Amino acid sequence: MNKDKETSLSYNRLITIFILICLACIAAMTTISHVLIRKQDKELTGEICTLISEEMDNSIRFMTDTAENAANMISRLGEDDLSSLQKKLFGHAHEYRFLSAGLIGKDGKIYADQMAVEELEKWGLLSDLPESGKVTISDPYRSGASGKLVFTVFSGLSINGSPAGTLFLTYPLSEIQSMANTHALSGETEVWLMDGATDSFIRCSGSENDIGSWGNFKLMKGRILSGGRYEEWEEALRDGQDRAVVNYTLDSVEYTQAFKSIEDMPGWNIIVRMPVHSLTPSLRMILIFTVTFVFIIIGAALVMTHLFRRKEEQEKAVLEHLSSSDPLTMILNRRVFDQQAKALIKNETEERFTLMFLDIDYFKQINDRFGHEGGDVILVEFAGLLSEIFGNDGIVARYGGDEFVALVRGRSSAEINEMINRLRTSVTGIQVNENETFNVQFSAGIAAYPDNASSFRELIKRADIALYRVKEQGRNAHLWY
Amino acid sequence: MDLMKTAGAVLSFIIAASACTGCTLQNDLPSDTAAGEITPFAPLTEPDPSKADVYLIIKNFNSSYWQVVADGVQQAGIDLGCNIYYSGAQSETEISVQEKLMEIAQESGADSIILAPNDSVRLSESVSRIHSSGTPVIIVDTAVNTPEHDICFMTDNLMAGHEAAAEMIRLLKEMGVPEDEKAEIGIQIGAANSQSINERVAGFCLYWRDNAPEKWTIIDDIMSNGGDADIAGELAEKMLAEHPDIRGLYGSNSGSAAGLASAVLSKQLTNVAVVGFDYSEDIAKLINSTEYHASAMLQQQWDMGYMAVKASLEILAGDLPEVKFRDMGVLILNKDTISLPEVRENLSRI
Repeated sequence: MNKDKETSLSYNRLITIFILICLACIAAMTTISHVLIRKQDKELTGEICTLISEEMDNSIRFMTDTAENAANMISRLGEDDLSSLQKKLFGHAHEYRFLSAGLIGKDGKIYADQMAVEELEKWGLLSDLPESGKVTISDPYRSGASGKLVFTVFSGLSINGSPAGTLFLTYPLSEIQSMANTHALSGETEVWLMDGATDSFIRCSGSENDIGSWGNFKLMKGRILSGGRYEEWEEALRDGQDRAVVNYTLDSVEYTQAFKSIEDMPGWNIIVRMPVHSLTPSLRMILIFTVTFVFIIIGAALVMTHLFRRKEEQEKAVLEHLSSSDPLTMILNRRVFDQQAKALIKNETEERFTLMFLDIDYFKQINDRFGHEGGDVILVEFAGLLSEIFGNDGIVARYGGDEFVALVRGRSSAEINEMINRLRTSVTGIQVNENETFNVQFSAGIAAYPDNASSFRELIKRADIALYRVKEQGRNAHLWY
Repeated sequence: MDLMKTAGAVLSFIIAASACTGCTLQNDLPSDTAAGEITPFAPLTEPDPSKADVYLIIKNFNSSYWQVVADGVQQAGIDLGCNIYYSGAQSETEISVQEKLMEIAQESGADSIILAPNDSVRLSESVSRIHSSGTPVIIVDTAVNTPEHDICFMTDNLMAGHEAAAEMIRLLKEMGVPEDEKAEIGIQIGAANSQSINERVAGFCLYWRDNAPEKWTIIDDIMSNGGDADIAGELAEKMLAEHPDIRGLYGSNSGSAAGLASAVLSKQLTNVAVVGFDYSEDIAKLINSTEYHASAMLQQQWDMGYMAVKASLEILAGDLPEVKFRDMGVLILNKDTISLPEVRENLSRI
């Protein structure tokens, strides 16, 4: 029994260790995968943000190049009548991508339609015009003609080698917005134009509601977690560096954010921001499914192992039962009884044990009368009744032929006498075959431990001696040693 | 068996956790537009079948600002001779209510519709549909994301922010703050997602960048008070305690301005200027006092309403506007302007 318990414990321990190792491996796999995915996310989003911001910058440069080329063309024409030039070149400005265009003389006179003149004056855009060969871009402002945000590109003008004023082209901000939307990889990618000095920005991408709206990053800065990296990034932006990338967490979302300064729009930068997870949700799903699959395989392996082990235990139990019991009566055989009885008495030295030898009287005559089949019925019935009466308090066994033995724990002599009498009553009228019954008689020799013996071997001898005496005195009785 | 139960529980947990993770990866859909009750159009002028019918749909019945707009519309109806019918939403989240009201107005035979849209994007489709069917649509206060309307009258908040910054610089100079001495400006906003407020902040900051002395800076900690003047006052006191060099406070909406003025009054900070949007009793106390320095940026919502009706009738007469957007501008209320006729007139309409 103890050996079985020990085996079961070691099996459970083994399985527990196996599960723990599996869990540790899965945890390690998940952590390593997560770290690798995050690293890849950061690298990729950083590269993409930088790429988008550079392409946006190139697109803005296309607008400034357009203004610069127009200024160069005017220089080559050599005509110094700005009013005439304006009419020739920009009389049909609405046919181009810009909203309005015109020329500003050295004296500050504006050659353009009245609406454009009013707006340049209203927004104070005439105060810091570029020199010849230089280009600047205004802050975004709202156009009265369309009600939309616009910005104006100024290019210094020279005619016949002398500074002659400024050319300007006003574009809708939607030109930049459409570029941003083209390049936005998903709805989560945000593209802003941001003034580094004030943190004011215009959303050029993102949700439809947000496009063209103003915001201020100061409202978010207090909630940023970056371990100081955002501050370094901001310092780079304010120092006028060309570009930089940063990762930070805002409201539990990890973002990658890049800036690229706009060369001709001092202080303004293209900002591209995207959640770090936006590129690799599929990789994360694969990881989740892999972990789930591994758990399912481990679970299935555990179930199968358990089922195999249970079947093995059942087979082992059958084999053990067969090797330990008497094949006819199915109670213990002599070998196993001796082992178990020795173990009990060895371990329970303080407790009282009673050992009985029981012998069916004149069994040979029973065999002669009812045949071996009838004799076997008597033996089986006798063994069953013996188990019923003594089995709950100890162990019973067929010791050989018509001889049985019982070892009972803890009962007094009176109780043993009463149990034997009950057995004697029970064995009368056993149905041997369909037509006949038989009143079985038996003799019993009894010895008690530790009263009559100090060991199992001694105890069995004493009980055998008592049985011998019973047989000498005429059988069908029991005697104590 | 215990082992099996444990393994089963672990598996169930993993599968459930995976399922839950799958759920969280789904995109959240935007919440539905609040659908409130439809308030039937009521006449603001004595109906006359021989006159044009102009329908006004405002953003929010529960705001005195919109009552002033309606007053301007009503006066224009009387002055210019047209019927004015008036309805609107109960709150600025009711977009479908405004869509329904536009349909009702058109079905009722509106000759033109004046709309203050609660959402620039979601109402674009309704505005385009009605305008394309031949009914003039005049937008007031907030732009819509479609060119399919006749004209929009509103405050250019970016420019208003510029003007507020210019006024703040003027006040600081008036107070004698040296240009080579450190001076900080604190900003409060009513809501971080309001385009009007964000434009006022952007305009203020951009003007400040270009025109304020280098040592006069805006502090990074822009505070949001959720539109509550009491909270604005508490936040202002906190801001003043944390930044002893503050010499100016800018409130980008009426609640913020009122809270800032209240804090300055309670702390008796005569060395801190306040510039804020819209009129409130607290900011008026500062302006009326000889010790304090304050200015209020007054929007011209009455004129907005009046001009919208005027434009409606011009369009109906075949005189189409040349521009899509008309900046109504702001009036600056301070000690110097308080007695100007246009300022007094504006105040009398609030």
